[in-house]
Amino acid sequence: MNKSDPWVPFADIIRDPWSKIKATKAKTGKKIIGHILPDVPEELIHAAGAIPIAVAGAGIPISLSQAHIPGYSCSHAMGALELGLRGELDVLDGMIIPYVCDTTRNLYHLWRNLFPDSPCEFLRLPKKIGDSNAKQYLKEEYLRISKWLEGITGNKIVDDTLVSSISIYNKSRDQLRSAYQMMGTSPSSWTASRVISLFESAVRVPREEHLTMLERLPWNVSADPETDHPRIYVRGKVWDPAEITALFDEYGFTLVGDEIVTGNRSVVIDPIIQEDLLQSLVDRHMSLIPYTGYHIEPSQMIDDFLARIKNSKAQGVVFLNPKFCEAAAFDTPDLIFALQKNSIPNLALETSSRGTSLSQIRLRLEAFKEILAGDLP
Amino acid sequence: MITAGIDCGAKNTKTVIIKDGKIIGKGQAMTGFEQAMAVKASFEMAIKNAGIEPKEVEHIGGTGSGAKSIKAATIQVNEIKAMTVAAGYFFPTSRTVADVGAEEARAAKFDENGAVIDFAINEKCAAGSGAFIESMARALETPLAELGALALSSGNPIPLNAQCVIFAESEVVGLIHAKTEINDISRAIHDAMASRIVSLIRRVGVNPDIVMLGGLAHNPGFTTALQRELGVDKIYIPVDPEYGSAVGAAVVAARK
Repeated sequence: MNKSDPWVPFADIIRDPWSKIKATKAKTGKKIIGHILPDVPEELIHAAGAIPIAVAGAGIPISLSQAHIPGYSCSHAMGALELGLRGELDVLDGMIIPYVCDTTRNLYHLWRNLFPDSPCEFLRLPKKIGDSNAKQYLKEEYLRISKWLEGITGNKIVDDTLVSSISIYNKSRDQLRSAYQMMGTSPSSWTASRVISLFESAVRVPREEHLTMLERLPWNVSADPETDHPRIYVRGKVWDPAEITALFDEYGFTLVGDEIVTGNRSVVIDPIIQEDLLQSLVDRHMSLIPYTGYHIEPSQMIDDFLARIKNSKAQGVVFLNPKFCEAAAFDTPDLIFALQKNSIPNLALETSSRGTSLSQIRLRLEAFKEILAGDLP
Repeated sequence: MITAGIDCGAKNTKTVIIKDGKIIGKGQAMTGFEQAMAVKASFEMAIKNAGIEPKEVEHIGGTGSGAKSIKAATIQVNEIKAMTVAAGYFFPTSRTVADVGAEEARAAKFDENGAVIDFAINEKCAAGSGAFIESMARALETPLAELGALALSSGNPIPLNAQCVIFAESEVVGLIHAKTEINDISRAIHDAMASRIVSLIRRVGVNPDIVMLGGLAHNPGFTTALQRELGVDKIYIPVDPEYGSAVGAAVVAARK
């Protein structure tokens, strides 16, 4: 790849985020707060004067963490622990682990035991979504995390700084939404792998810097001629294996929607700035596409899922289920039955960079494309 | 019209020649490291078997894990499509097909036009493929060709729990040490294998007239266990089931 290629810096960040963040820390003197995806409000960390950096474990070769975490844990959790044990995360001044599933709950306890000198907090997200008590609870929890952050940075989170932080993240989300749309209109240059690299890198560098990088992209490129590429919607947690988006490009799929934590889900809703700013963040969280481990009434989960697919105009759904993620595994059969009932083709991939053969994924995608294209023999 | 279908599989490469919808020649060679050589050898054997000249073949459909090495292919046929088309070719009323080869097992459901509705592929390990039976035959020091027949003489089902070839072999060795009858061990092996394939078939949905393709369809111990596990009276198996995907590729080549 050419170094003047405006897409290269995003790929560089994903390949080696930690060297970059060490340099940023040395240059700015700011505290670095790591967080496990999803749903830690980066705006709070930013408003405390620190830099939020996502600790993404999927794709990390596992060796050291095997001694501490069961082998049937997801790659995402195992990889995050591996990074910590390797010392790659020494740059962090603090770590936030959200309660999204049993694995992250246990990961928090492991983290406290294995890295006793590194401040770590557990963001106890409510599992029930939409309930008024849950909203009040989450606001209290955000307040508690805010105090913890203030203790690390020495900066008080005041309304002005939080408004400023929310505005920066809203601007970033707006840009990323535009990028997602470009994938639909100009897929030859705004490929799925390139666009998703924007999302993946956004959580690994200071957001202001990322916004500047986005400005260099070819936003004015003309729209591609209409194609009959099959339109797909992806449900899952993380883009694992990382090559999956490149495979979508290779097989000519158009990504029109997804629920991945570093995908459309992360940008689809902005907090609306109101008098009570913590309430703004709470309302945003409650409006997000529920993460697979959250609890909502099953029929509502299915209806909402079908509505999202219909709105996206997708012709088919790809489930990107991480191996050993029981939350995703429990949801999938109900969702598949609902899709079948509505004659929406789907492909359930159980993937992990720790043990998935790309050639098997290729074969499945190839066959799925033929199903969507109605390519009769 | 004369077409050829070449299935470059993990272990063997198979070629089928079809003339006006009828199979007139077959050839097979070990795939090995030189896939192109295997393709050439199986093609030449099939041509000779068919009694025709290579230039008489109008189109070639290529399929299998080594399909990219079939340079002469005029069309690449996805392995799922190849197996469903083959099932429809042999048994027009069939709507479900399973194909168990050396290193992969697949199941698919298709409509009356042969279009794939849903499919599933074994993804955990080789425990759902022909390599599993080969490994077990080695552990039992029994020729592979005899293992299936041995299972048929057992009336004593024994569960085999391991989900991986290596651990299953350890379990079989444990049964040998416990002086378990060899026919009972053979049945346990085939029952375990069938159970994995049936769970694959159930994932896509069981439609009547299930077709079995792939080399393992030759094994009576396996097909009997499969029938028992599925609760069906009959499983439809063509002559030379290992040529199934090659037939599918040849048929697709003719239609294109």
